[in-house]
Amino acid sequence: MGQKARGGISQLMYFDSLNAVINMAGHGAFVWAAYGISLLVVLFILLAPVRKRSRILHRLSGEVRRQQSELGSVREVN
Amino acid sequence: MWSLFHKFGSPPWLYQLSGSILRWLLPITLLALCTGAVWGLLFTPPDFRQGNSYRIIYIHVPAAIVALAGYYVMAIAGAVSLIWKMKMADLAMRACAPIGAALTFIALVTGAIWGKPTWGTWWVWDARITSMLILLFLYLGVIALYEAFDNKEAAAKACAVLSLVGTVNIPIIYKSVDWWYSLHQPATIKFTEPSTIHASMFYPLLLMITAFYALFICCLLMNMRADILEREAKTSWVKKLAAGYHS
Repeated sequence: MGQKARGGISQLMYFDSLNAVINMAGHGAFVWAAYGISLLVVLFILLAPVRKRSRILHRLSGEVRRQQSELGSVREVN
Repeated sequence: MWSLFHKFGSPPWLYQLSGSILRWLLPITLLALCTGAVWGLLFTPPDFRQGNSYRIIYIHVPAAIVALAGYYVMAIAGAVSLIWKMKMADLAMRACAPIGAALTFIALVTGAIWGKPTWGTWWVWDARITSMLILLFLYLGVIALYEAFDNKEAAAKACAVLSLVGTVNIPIIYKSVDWWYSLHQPATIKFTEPSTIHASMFYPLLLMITAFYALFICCLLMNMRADILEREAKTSWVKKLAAGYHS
C-alpha cells in the first residue's frame, strides 16, 4: 500500500503508508481493538442463527429419513 | 390490515417472506458494513481534538443507536404477544434479545476503548454509561428469564412484562447527557438544528447507522427463521423442507 505509486482512490485516503494505518498516530491499538472486537461480535450474531438453523434442519432431515425407511420396511413386510 | 396481521401470524408465510428478504438484504448489509468501516477508518480526516481515536465513532454510535431501537422493537413485540397472544410476536421479541445484547456490548466496549485515550479512563459511573449497562442487563435478563421457564407460554409472558417495564430506561438513556453532568458528549447529529459534525465525517457515519439497522433486521429475521423451524418441527411444511435438506 505504501510503496506503490499513489493515484486514483488512494489519493483520497487519509493515511500515506500501511504503517500509518496500523499506528494511527498512536491511537492504532485503541481503534483496531474496537473494530476487531466489534467484528467478532457481529460475526457471532450472524453465524449463531445460521448454525442453529442448519442444526435443526439436519436433525429433522434425519428424523424424516428414518420415518420414511421405517415406512418402506413396513411396506416390504406387507 | 387485519389480513396482513393474520398473515404475519402464519409461520410458513413468514419463513418464506423472510427468506426472500434476506436473499438481497444480507449481501447489501455486509457490503454496507464493510464500505462504512473502510471509509471511516481510512478515508476520513482525523478529529482536530481527538485525533484518530474518534474513528471508533463509526461503530460506537451506530451500535448504541440500534441497541436502543432494538429495545423498542422487543418491547412492542412483547406488547403484541401479551395483548393478542400472537406466537410470532413472541418469537420476534425473543429474537431481539441476543442481537440487542450484542449491540449494547459493542457500544459499551468500544466506548470504554474510546474513553481511555480521550478521557484517560476506561470506565466512569456516569449516567449515560450506567444506563447503557442497565440496558445490557435488561437484554440479558430477557434471555435468562426465557430460559428459566419450562412452560414457554409463561416464559413469553414474563419476558414481555420485563421488556415493557424496561422501556422506562430508554428515555433515561436518551436524556442522560442533558439531565446530568457527564463526561459523555451530547449528540452530534440533531434533527431540529444543524448537526455539529462535518459532512466528510457525517456521510460514513450515516452509512454505518443504516448498515447497523439493516444488520439488526437481518439477524432478527435469521433468529426468527431458526426459531420457527424449531417450533414448527412437527408440521408437514417443515418436514417437507427438512426432507429436501442435504448436508
